[in-house]
This record gives sequence, structure tokens and C-alpha cells, in this order.
Amino acid sequence: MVANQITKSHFPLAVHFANPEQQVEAGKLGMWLFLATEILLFGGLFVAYAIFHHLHPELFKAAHRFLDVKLGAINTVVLLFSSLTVVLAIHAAQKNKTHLIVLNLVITLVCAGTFLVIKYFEYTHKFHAGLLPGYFFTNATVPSPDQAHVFFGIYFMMTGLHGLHVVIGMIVLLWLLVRALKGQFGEQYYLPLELGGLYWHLVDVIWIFLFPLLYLIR
Amino acid sequence: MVANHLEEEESYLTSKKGIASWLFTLDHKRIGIMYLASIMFFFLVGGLFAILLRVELWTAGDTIVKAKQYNQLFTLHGAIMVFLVIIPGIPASLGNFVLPLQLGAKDVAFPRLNLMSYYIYVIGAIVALSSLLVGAVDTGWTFYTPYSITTDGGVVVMVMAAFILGFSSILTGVNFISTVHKLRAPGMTWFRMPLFIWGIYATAIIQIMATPVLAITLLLLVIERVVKVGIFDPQLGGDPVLFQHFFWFYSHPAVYIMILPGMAVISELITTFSQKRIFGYKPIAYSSIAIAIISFLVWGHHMFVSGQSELVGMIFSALTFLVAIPSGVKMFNWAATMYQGSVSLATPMLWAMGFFLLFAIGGLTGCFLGTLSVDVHLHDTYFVVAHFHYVMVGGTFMAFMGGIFYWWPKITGKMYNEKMGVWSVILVVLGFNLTFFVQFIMGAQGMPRRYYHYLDQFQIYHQISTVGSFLLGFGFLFSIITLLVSLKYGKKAPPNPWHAATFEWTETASPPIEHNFHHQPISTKGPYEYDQIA
Amino acid sequence: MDSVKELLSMRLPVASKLSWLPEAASTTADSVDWIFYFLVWSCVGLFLLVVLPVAWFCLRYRRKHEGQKALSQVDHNVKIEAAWTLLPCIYLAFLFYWGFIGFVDLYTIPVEAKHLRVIGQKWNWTVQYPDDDISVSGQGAIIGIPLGQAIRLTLSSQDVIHSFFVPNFRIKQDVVPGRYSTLWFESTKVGEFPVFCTEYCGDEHSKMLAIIKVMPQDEYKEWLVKKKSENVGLPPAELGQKLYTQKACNACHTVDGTPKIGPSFKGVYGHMTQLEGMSPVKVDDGYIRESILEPQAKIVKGYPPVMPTFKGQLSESDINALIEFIKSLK
Repeated sequence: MVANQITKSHFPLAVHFANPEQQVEAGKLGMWLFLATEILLFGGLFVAYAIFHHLHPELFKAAHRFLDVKLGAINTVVLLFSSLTVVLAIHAAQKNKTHLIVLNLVITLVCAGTFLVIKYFEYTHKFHAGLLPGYFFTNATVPSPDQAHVFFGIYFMMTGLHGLHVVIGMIVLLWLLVRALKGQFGEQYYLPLELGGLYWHLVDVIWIFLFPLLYLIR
Repeated sequence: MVANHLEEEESYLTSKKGIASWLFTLDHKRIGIMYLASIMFFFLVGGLFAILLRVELWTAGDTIVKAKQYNQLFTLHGAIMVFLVIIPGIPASLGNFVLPLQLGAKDVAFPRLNLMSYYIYVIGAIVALSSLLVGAVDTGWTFYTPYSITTDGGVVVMVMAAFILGFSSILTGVNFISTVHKLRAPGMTWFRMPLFIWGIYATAIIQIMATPVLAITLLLLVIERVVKVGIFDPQLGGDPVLFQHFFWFYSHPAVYIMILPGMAVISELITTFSQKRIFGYKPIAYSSIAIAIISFLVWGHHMFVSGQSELVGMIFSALTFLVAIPSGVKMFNWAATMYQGSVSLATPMLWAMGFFLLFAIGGLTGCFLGTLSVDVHLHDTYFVVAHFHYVMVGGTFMAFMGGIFYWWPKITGKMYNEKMGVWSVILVVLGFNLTFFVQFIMGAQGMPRRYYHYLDQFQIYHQISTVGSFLLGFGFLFSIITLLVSLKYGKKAPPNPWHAATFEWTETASPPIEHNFHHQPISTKGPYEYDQIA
Repeated sequence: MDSVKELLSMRLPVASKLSWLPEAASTTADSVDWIFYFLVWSCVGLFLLVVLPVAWFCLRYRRKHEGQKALSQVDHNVKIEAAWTLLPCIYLAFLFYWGFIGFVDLYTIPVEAKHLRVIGQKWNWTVQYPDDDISVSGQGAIIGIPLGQAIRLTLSSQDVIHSFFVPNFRIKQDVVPGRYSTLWFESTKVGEFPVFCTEYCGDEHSKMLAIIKVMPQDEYKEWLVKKKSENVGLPPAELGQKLYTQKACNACHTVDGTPKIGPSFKGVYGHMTQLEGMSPVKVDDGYIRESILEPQAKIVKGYPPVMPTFKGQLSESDINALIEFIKSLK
């Protein structure tokens, strides 16, 4: 399909597109549509959250105290910062600075890894405390423990699905890093960087909704 | 002139050889054919289950299987027909083949994604069938909680299959929308697009908006079953009706994912075989979009007796009637298109006429179910079973067959035997009415659906229905044989045997070359100007 | 099996051979039927309205020779298009209004209605008469109803979703675990009317039938008296045998030794039984009692853990009677 050797000074135009603009626009439109479906995917969980929050407001208030706001806040900052570095990577591509693309992608990857490590500590803590969904729930210190498992069910569903998106995002970033190292991106061609960046922003945006909904219930 | 050109270059079917050239192809036409073959295979499997069900219902007690197996059979029939046949159906097979050709494009926007969608479909299909190894599912294709969380068998596997198939559907939708937006031929404005594209476009919108909600619902169901989260399970404080809301929020729009492409095909057939511009192009185009939008607002009409409030029932009833209007508009416009036309009753047109007859019945009986107080009586009876078979088989599948017979010469380069084609339609229409019309009567009389045993007084209706199902099954087999026979014995198809006016007929040979066109087609007029074809 | 045969040969009263709907036997049924038949005839009319012109066009404008051109290329007519968009709106609005009015009637419960409780359970209905301190249950249970009296049903489910459907009364209501739903009717005819479960609930979904028996007031009173005294003074084993069908134990447990969904009751009493993941246990009074009240505590090897609890549905003497019954099956 790709007829030409990809280099940063050359746009690899696929045969079924008339010109680079068309290819870039189609790629971006496709990505935006895909992001819309992702938001709808999480939308289902947000609806479930809203319904159960409405049914048991007191419970949600009580149960959320068992989440670590400090760790959640650190993770929020980490992700926000990583969104910035993705933008910088694209910017570097536009300036033809391959080493800066690589550097920024590496920082983004490190941030993503940090996020997951912190999440890992949060999860293990909850595993030990028995703050688990459904009938695995064994913690007796939470008020109304016969209902509290619903909150943790939703917590694990939402953060778990988000975590999965972080992992997929890291795979995408790694693939971009490999291509950047091969010198394939430059001012002519940085479409994959833009698309990967869009996806990473989505991962970030979803977390920005999750954090207050789960950690900062008032 | 086009034909002369084509003698020089090989068609997409022969330009590359070997199995690998098919399995790894990025050509939308070949991917469309692979979809078509897979979908037809699963149609036969699902149809076999249907026949077994009808045989079982020949008597009121045990006929060939036990109650448990019967429940597994209707679940498999429903799940296969819905998720593996009708939902991908027209868009993935005919849509893939025709859409880029009608747009004057060389391919869909993302060919690799297209191939990936196909393989996700295959994986989903394999996972669905592998649920049989774990123990066949007996929940019905709707997976209602809490039954689906408590019954044994491979519910998790089957639900995961539907989840995977959903992704195939989403990616196809993303691909088609991008293609329609960005790859139209020079000069092809939105209102110069053939109506088939409008229909597929509206379908793709529903696909990407509704399917993610299904995906998350199914994921929640799996988690509920495996870890007992307590979202749908009443014993853990969950709400089983919430599942129904989530499920129908997808599955009602999904009904339009199934029927809109059928309507899209019918628009092409009626105008071509009347040799007349389509009547009311814009109303038909807009009505597709209207149906797509309203379809998201009617899910509650599946739940009139679930205990939701009267107010909610009222709102959903009103919205349900609203969706009847754009469907009616299409019917009237098709009828008016034939007025003063030059009507040829070739096989594809006969399928369209079959569609017209059966879809009219299916649509009108929908009015019964939208009427609140009548729905209370008819809900979950055979009346509903008959209604959705009239819409899904009588509507969508008739159109699907019509589309296949219409584009067959383009896809394969062969003409089928016209007499056999005509007989296929006659057999299917007769068999279909025999099978399903009695089910309206049975249902109104009070026969509930998904019943293994039934009161003796319903036996006569069940037996008529079973006889009909054999005729129907034979009709479909005969259609498929008609097509397959043509591959070997069919006459060579000319580029435009139907004297149609869209690009796939006027600008390229039958079958087309690998990259579709020698020269980029340019659109200078509406899609159905039969007076101006060379 | 015989009881099933009997159930299936039960007749659902039909108005006449040629009618679409079964005989109407409640006060709300007539208005539903009216709309239904209006729909039937108006839909026949609409069907002909779209199909006949198409059939006519097929004949009239049939292509006679190859290359024949259409007579015209007319592709719009604002007046006609407006008509076929707006006129259906009126028709549909009318249907909506009428259906809604009927729907409200179906759910507007008269205050003087007599209260019954209905419990759905795999795979039978139990109906409790709170005012009269009796209950009926089992597949094919006879639910006695006085003629011309409004009845309010409070429905709940023990396990999965069921749906309570009486075709002759044109009423239906889902029965959802974890919540109560209500339904009402007032019968207008004496007779036996079947009750179906219409929400798929598993293997014996299609056997989850009961019979509403509408009787004149005095006959109903006699029926109540008979029901009340029915179980008084019975030897425990005989009472147990009754409960065995009434509580639908027979849906899963046989008495002739053949395994069904659960193990057979024949000859188990006093013998050891193999358990799933536990050491064998002797079937005695205590074990049977536990199995009825907490079915998931011990699972017999080779059977699925699907039995629902009967806690709160059986009195002490009922449980003893069942134990005596099982004991008697040597």
C-alpha cells in the first residue's frame, strides 16, 4: 500500500488518496470519530455511576474516603504533564527536530509508566484491605458494608477500563517512538504523531472526569 | 469505451492470485466478498437452527429435543442471526463492495482498518461458536439479567463474542463515515450521492453512536457474572431493569442498523428498474438521517410492561409513532418512483417488490405494538416474533438478496439464470408468509414466545408455520444455488446490464479492475439521470 | 408428565374460531379490543393503499421492449409529499392518544379492589390471599377469583424476571426481583382462564402456567372455606405430598429415582449422599431442613447449585410434613 520509502522529507501518500491533504483530513476525521465512540463507551459507565450515586448518595460519600486523594492528585498532574509533552513532540516534528520528538515521547512514556505504578500501589492497598467489588468485598470498617461493594465495583470498572486505555496508549506511543527513531517524522509528515497524540489526550481527559467523580465526592 | 479499456487490464478477481492474496488483501471489493461469504455461511447455520426450532414445535411436548436444548437453539438462532448475519449484513458486504465504487473512490479511507474489522468479525464468530464447548447459552439473544447471571453455560464467552463483534461494527462505521466525507469524487456534492450511500452513512452514524454503549453493557454483564459487582444483580443491590435500559439503548438503534441499509438497497433497485429518477430524493435522504436520530429515543418501547412509569411509557410510545413517519415517507416515495416509469420485473426488482409487500406488513404491525394498551396484550407473544421477522427477514433480508442479485454481475462478472432468480423470489415470499403470518394470529390469541410447550389449541398454527419454514428454507437455498451455478455456467456480464446510472455501472467494467477506475470519475449530475446515460 | 399433559390440554377460551383475540373477560378488555380491531382494519386499508398502486404501476408501466424510456422523469410534487407526511401524523397521533388512555385505565386501580399477592418463582406462581389466610401454588395452580370484584395484585419475584400474563383479561406485567409491581383486573365472565409466564425464565418457562378460576360470589365463598380446611387434619406425609406439587418441588425432584435438575427424593432418607467439595453427609431431618431453607449450603455432587430458598414460604409444620413425605419414599 505504501509505495514510497518513508523519510521525514517525504509524505507517504497512499494510492487511494488524491493528495496529502485528503489523507491527513481523512485520518483526523477517523480518529475523532473513534474518540467519540470511546467517550460513549465510558459514557455508559458514567450513567451507571450517576444512577447509583443518586440511589446511595450517603454511601458514595462514605466509601470514597477510602480512596487516596493525594495519590489521585499526583496521577492527575502526571497525566496532564504527559499531554503537554505529546504536544511538544508534535511541535518538534513540525520543526524537523527528530531528537526532540524522541525525547518528548520518552518523557510521555515515563509519565504513563509512573501513572500505572501509582495505580498499582493504590490497587494493592485496596486488595489487602478487602475493598473489592461484589462478594470479594470483605472490609468491615466501611459504613453499610452490605452496599459499599457497589461503589468499589464501579471504582474498579472505571479505573480499570481507564488503566487499560493507558496501557494501549503506551503501546501506541512505543510504536511512534520506534518510527521517530527511524527518522520517519518531519515537517512533511507527522500525521501518526498527531493521531496518537489525540488518543493520548482522550486518555487524559477521561481521567480528569474520573478523578473528581471518584476521589472528590462532596 | 469503458469496456474496451478493460480488456487490457485484469479484473480485481484475477489481478492477484493465491489464498494469501485474499487473506491479506486491502481491496475493499475482496474484503466485501469475504464478508459476503462468511455472512452467508452463518445465515445457513442460523437458518438450520431455525428449522430445528420449527420441527421441535410440531408437537406441544418433546418432538426432537428437550426443553433445555430448545432454549439453547433459539438463543443460538437469535444471537447468530442478529450479531453475525443481519447487523454486519448489507453494510459489511455490499456496502464494502459498492460504497467506494459509487463514490468514485479507489478504496475506503482506511483499507487496513477495513481488513482488521473483517478479522475482528471472524474472531468474534469463532468465540461465539466456541461458547458451545463451554456449554451452550440458554439466555435468549437479549441476555436479560438476572437470568443471565445465574444460568450455567458459556454466557461469558457468548457475551464476549458480541462485544468483539461490536468493535468490528464500530470500526466499519468509522471507516465508512470518513470515506463518505473525504473520498467523494470531484463534483459529487452531498445531494449527488446515490441514496445507497445515504443509507449506509446513516447506518454508520448509528453504529458508532450505539455500539459503544452495548460494548460497555456487555462488559458490565461479564464482570457482574464473574466478580459479582452488584450493578445488575438484585441480590447484591443492583437493578436488573437497568440492564434492559442499557441493552435496548443499543439494540433498538441496532434494529435500524439492520433495516436502513435494506431501505438503501431498495432505493437503488426501484429507481434503476423503473428507469426513472427517484421520487423525492431529499426526503428519502433526510428520512434516513431522521430515522437514525429518532432511533435513539425509542428504546423504552421494549419495556412498556417492565414497571416503568406511565409517563415514561407515554413518552416512548409517542416517539415510537414518530419513527413511523420517515419510514412511511420512504414507502410512498418508492411507490411514486414507479409511476410513469419503464418498469422491468427482473429478479432484483422482484426482491424489491417482495420487500415492499412484507415490509408494509411489518411496519404496519409495528403500529399495534406502539399503541400502549394493545402492546400490553401483545408484548412477548408470537405477534412480536412475527412482527420483527417481517421487518428483519421480510424487510432487510429481502433487500439484501435483492442487492446481491443486483450487484452480482458487477461483483462476479457473471449473469445468473433469470428464471431461477424469479423462482427464488416466489418461493421465499410464499414460504415466508406461510411461516410467519399465522404467528400474528397465534400471538394475538395469547401464545407467548420462547415456549417449548404450548396449549394444544395452538398446534395447528405451529404446524402451518413449520411447513412454511421448510418452503422458506428451500427458497433461500435455491437462491444461493442460483447464484453459485452462475459462477460456472453464467453468461459474461456487460458493464451495465441494468442500464443503471451510478458510477459502479457507468464508469468501470464488470468486474472492476483492482483500483476500480482507469480515470477518476467526475460527477456532473444527479445519481439517477437515466436519460443521460451514454 | 401427566400433569403437564393436563396443563397443555387446558383450553384458553376463544371468542370464536375466526376472531383474532381470545374471549374478553375483564372490564378493561373491551376497550383494548376496540383499538385492536380498529388497528386491524385501518392497517388493512393502509396496506392496500400502498400495495395496490404499486401493483398497478407494475402492470401499467411494464417495460414492453428493451430500451423503453420512462414516460416522464417527474421527481417531486410538494402537495402530495406534504399530504403523505402529514396525514399519517394525524392517524398516528390518534392511535397514540387512544392507546395511552387505555393504558392509563389498565394501571388505574380502583380503591375498593381486593388485594392478592403474587410471587413468581422458577417455575410456578404462588398466590397469597392476605385477607383470607390461604395461598395457592404450583404448576397449574387454581387461583379462585370472585366474579365482578376488582382485584389488585402485588407481584414480586423470588429469583429471575417473570411476567404475569392473562390473555383473556388483556393484562401483563413483568415481575422483577427486588421490587414490587402492581396490576389489577375485574372479571366479567365465569370460567377458567390460563395465566402464562411471558418473560423467559429457563427450562420450564413454558410450564409456568396457572389457572384463574372466576366464580360467582357464593361459589367463591365455598371455595375459600374448602381451601382453608383442605390441609387441616391431614397426616404429615400426605400434607407433604401435597406441598411437593404445590411448591413445585416436582419441577426439579422426582419421586421415582430418575435424576432431574436436582436429585430424586426416592430412597434418600437415612442414606449417605456425596457432596460437592465436602465430605459425604447423612440425609436426616436436619439436612433436609437446611436444604430447603439454605439450599446453597451443601450441594449434592453432580447437580447445579440452582435451588432457590423457601425461607418464609413454609411454616414449621410444612417443613416437617415434607420431611415425613421424603421419609415415606422408600
